[in-house]
Amino acid sequence: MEQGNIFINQGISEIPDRKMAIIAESLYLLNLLILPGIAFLALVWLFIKYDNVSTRISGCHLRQTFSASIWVGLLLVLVTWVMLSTMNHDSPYTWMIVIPYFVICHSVLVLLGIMGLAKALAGKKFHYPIIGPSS
Amino acid sequence: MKIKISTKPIYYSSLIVLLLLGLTIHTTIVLPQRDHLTPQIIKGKMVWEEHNCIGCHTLLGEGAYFAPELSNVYERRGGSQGGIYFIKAWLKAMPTNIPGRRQMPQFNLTEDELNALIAFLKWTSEINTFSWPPSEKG
Amino acid sequence: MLYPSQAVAKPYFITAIALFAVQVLFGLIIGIQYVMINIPFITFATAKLIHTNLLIIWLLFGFMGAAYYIIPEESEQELYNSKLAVLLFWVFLALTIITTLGYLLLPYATFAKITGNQFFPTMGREYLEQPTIIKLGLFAVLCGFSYNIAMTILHGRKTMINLLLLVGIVGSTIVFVFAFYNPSNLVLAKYYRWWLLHFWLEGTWELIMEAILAYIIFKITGDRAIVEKWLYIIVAVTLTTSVLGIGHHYYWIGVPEYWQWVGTIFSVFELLPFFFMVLFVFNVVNCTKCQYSNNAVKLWALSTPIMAFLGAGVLGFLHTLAPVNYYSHGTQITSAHAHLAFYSTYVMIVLTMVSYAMPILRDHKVINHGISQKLEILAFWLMTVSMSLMALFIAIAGIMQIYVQRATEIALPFIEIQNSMVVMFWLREIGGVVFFIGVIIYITNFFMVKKKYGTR
Ligand code: HEM
Ligand SMILES: [Fe+2]
Repeated sequence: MEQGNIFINQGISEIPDRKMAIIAESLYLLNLLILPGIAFLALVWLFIKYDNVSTRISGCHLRQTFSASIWVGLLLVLVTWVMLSTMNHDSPYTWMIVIPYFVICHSVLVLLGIMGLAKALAGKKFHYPIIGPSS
Repeated sequence: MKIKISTKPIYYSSLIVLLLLGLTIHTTIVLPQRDHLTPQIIKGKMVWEEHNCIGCHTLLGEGAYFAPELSNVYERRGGSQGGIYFIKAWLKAMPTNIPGRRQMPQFNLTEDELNALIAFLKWTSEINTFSWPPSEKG
Repeated sequence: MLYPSQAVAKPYFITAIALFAVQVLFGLIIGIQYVMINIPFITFATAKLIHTNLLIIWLLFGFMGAAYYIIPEESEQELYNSKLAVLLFWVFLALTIITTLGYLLLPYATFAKITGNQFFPTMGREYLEQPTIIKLGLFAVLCGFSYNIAMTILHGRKTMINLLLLVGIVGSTIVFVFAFYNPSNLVLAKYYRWWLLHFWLEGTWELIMEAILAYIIFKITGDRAIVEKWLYIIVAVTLTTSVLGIGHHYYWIGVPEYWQWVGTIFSVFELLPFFFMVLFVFNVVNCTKCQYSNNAVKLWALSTPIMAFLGAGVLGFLHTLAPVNYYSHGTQITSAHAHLAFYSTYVMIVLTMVSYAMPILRDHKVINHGISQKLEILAFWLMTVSMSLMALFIAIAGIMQIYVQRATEIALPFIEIQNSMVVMFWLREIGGVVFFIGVIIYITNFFMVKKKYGTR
């Protein structure tokens, strides 16, 4: 496996194909797990800057994770926010719905990210079911 | 592909094991200084174990979740004012045979065993658990 | 089958599966008792005892079968002493039956008296309810098992997979010593009980599970180097996170406060091994290319890490932070986690192994034949989906319990709350029935269908 720090001595468009795919998937996971928002912005930046040719695997992973990350925002932030702002906080039933919803949604999205990362590591394309663009 | 086996993880895990041993020794040393056991309490623990109370109840949150938490039952039922009498009366009144309610068996404990059990539960209620459970209901 | 001595795995697997069915049956009994129907002849405590003890026992049977099957092949060596393996099987089975009958037929206190618990008290602690002499017998079985495996490997080829399995097995045996340590200080007793339970479930058993998974994936892909590379990472992460992760059991049992920090910080990362397991299988297994034809095994092997990630990783993480655990400790949340974690990590890996090995042990030339595969895949889905839903229902009940019993000003008494959660407990019981149907289909498939169509 090639080693070396990708951010030093390289413009982003020179980052090798497979590495870019790995970075995209990692940012998707980081956004979900440790750095919500920040990792997403980094992903958006890469998505815009990097010359993402759809035939290459980097292009596939960038577009898939970008789209999936927007879904993440909708499903985890927007829907949860709507639920919390419309439901009665003093009722246990609110929490009996909101917490399982959030946990299930979040862990399924993380699992998809892991599979995406696994495929990126193997140098293959990956299609996020439903939440990723079809091409 | 050749795998390079690095010894680093072994090194880190040994460090962690050492840390665990250190903390364990510290914990083991401080505990007896805080908790004063009497033969009656020790007997009470035995009564508790030999009747498998943990099969339905929790004690300090561990056990089955079928019946109430008992680490604070002594206080919940009035401490030195009522706890003793309540627990005794309770154990003697089982089973309640109220339809639709979970039933506890009759263990036919002797007076001696009852007193030991209550001493054990009283001792347990005095353990410093950083105000766990969150409410007196357990 | 490459080595005749691998055949000793067969009775172990069959017993494991049979006890699995009995265990689930007792689960159904306690599920019914949860919805307020009192059953004559058996108390909740007795049925629960059998439910949890048989779980541990049959998983051990499964691990032993797996080891007896894998080790000769990996070591390129007949089993060191297959007579001993057969003997230990009968001893273990006898111990299991005696213990279960003892629980069923005698009041627990009488069982304790008869077996001399007063001379060496170790009974009456969760998961360690067996009489002291039975524990001794169990320890002897584990020692003999470890010895047999160790000698086989010593004389044969050493691979990462069989060495890891050896570490897991010997480690489990050593850790079992803590079953005999029950200090009269309750706090210390609880402290050391977790040295057995946590270091088994999140330590040595996890290593065994990882070794079995690696073996199966190696069998599917045929690429040892890449499997070993991943295995190395996974094991390293497991070892560095689980050891001090034990602190997540020490928050509220009366030990010093620093355990809240230690437990929280380390156990957060206990999710990582499961993360890497999912990454591993999906990175390595290329479903479109590989020639391996037993689809049921592939399904089990690929789903095990996913489910383990959810049950052990996610559900474990959810209540492992001290501030969360303050509210969730000792509620139905714990039960939800215990169910899904045990199923996803250990039940599934044993069933994967059984599905892989049994057709070979029964000498079936063609594994991939219609009906049998379909039935097994159906059983897989029935069990996995119903167990996930069961965990969900229990978790929802747990949230409600926390809210009404702990997080409000005027907390309600325990029993009243339990009555108001009865809908969730009913749903759980229905899930249990579906799960049981899955088990029955799985077993029927092995003992009937495969016999009939298997050798075609
Ligand atoms: C490897 C698979 C695992 C299995 C089979 C497993 C199983 C269990 C079991 C049986 C219990 C005790 C339930 C009881 O007392 O009735 C438990 C408790 C617990 N587990 Fe796990 N577990 C696993 C992994 C994890 C992981 C990875 C974490 C953390 C990230 C975790 C966090 C916890 C916590 C915090 C408790 C204590 C709950 C409480 O009583 O407050 N577990 N687990
Ligand atoms: Fe643990």
